[in-house]
Amino acid sequence: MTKRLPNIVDRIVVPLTLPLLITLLWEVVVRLGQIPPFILPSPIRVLPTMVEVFPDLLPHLRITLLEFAIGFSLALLLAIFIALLMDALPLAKKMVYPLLVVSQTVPIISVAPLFLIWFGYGILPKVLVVILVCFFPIGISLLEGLAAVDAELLKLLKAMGARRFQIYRLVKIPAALPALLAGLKISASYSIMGAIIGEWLGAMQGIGYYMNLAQHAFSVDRVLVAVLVITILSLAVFKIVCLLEKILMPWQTPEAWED
Amino acid sequence: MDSKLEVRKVSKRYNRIKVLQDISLSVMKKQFVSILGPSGCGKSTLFEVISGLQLPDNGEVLIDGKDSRGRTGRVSYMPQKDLLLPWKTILDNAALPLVIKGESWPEARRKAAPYFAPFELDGFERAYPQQLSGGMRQRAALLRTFLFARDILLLDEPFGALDALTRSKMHLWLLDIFQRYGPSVLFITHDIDEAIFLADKLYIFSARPARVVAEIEIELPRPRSQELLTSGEFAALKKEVLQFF
Ligand SMILES: Nc1ncnc2c1ncn2[C@@H]1O[C@H](COP(=O)(O)OP(=O)(O)OP(=O)(O)O)[C@@H](O)[C@H]1O
Ligand SMILES: [Mg+2]
Repeated sequence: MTKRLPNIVDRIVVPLTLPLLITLLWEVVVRLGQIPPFILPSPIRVLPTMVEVFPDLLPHLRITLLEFAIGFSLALLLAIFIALLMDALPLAKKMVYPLLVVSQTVPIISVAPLFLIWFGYGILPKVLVVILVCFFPIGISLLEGLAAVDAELLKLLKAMGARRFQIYRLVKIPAALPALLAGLKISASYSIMGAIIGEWLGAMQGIGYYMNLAQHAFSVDRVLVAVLVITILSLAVFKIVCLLEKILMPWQTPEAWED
Repeated sequence: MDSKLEVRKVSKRYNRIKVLQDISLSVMKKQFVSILGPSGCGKSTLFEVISGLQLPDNGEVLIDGKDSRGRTGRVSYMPQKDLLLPWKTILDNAALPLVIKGESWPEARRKAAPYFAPFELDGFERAYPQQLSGGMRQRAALLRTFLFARDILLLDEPFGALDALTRSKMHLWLLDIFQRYGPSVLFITHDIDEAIFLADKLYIFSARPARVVAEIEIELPRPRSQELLTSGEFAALKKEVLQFF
């Protein structure tokens, strides 16, 4: 019981302090500087706008979430497959690894418009952008996790006569799970942004598209609402991955064992 | 009596470094044999050769009289680190070798569970390794080793990382297990007292490349207790061993 209260303070009050202060500062600056709302609306003005436009926003939200969900899942599956393949076959690693690194040096902003030309204004090009930004962090983390498994442990399993798939199932994959989740966290925070960038460059639906419209209409408060929604979405995805981490790896946070 | 494990004139080099040179030794049925040697001389390498992980450059490894060079999965090998899987409970860690041999998890757990009492791990079946003390982790690793193959155990400095008190408790416990199940044990250590106290026979290795410098029969009566450590016979044996260092 004594730990309850500090826990709430620790986990909710402390992280919220800074954002609240910044919002307050924003309000103060807008009021003291008498900045007109079409340049920068005060946070107190943004909130009613949020409530007002939310019904219009919902269909866009649905599309963005769909692009994220498809892109993220495909990136995850692809990354797991490629990382396992590269770990199991050194030749595959030598061939694919340089390509992976090169793929990351190509700026998204320059290829996303091409996707648009090739695949049109539907969700496919956005899904591709999400895959492109998410695949690399997941794949590389998992690959490193697989390579970092204690060599002595692998020796022990070999000494017991374990077959290759047993070594992967019993040791390599669980041992690489923390690395996989670390990669997932990074790409989780990029994933929504990937979808937004895709939409922003050309779309007919989605939060990014909505943001673009608002911007062209000089409706700063609506742009800010979109920004807020994007932030909340990204945070939510990140939190879900954190939750997944706790569920998948209960041994990471063990308590003292009471016999 | 037949030898359970016999190593004949085994040599091994890693690239330019000669690690093992004409090592010959034998372990009889139900015999406890210690190997005493300086750090880095090649003791762990010898275990890797016996367990089939490494091929010797020369020489033979006979298990039950059969050539076993390069054959894994026959003897139990406990490496220097406990290497318990942090994501599995102690019960599952102990059951792991049975699963590797093809049994289902429930079956393997059922077979492993009765040994938790003699290995002084009862009540900790569902704990994770991080939740155990150093001594318990070693006993869990030993149980895993034992469940893999109980007739030949290769133990590589199993108590090296423990404090002196825990270590002497573990000695008595290991002797008890040895008495009860009668495996053939090959036991690597740096500790002269430990080597003599546990064993029926003792091999002393030289610095790298490892050669057998001496083979000493230890004819102390069993069962042994801690009083033995302060006896005259023990002191005499220790003196005999010390002259090689
Ligand atoms: N896979 C390997 N490749 C190259 N050299 C190795 C390899 N394994 C061990 N060696 C070398 O062989 C020598 C003997 O190593 P080994 O681990 O067998 O010694 P040890 O007697 O077990 O030492 P310790 O008492 O410190 O455990 C060392 O010099 C080590 O560097
Ligand atoms: Mg060693």
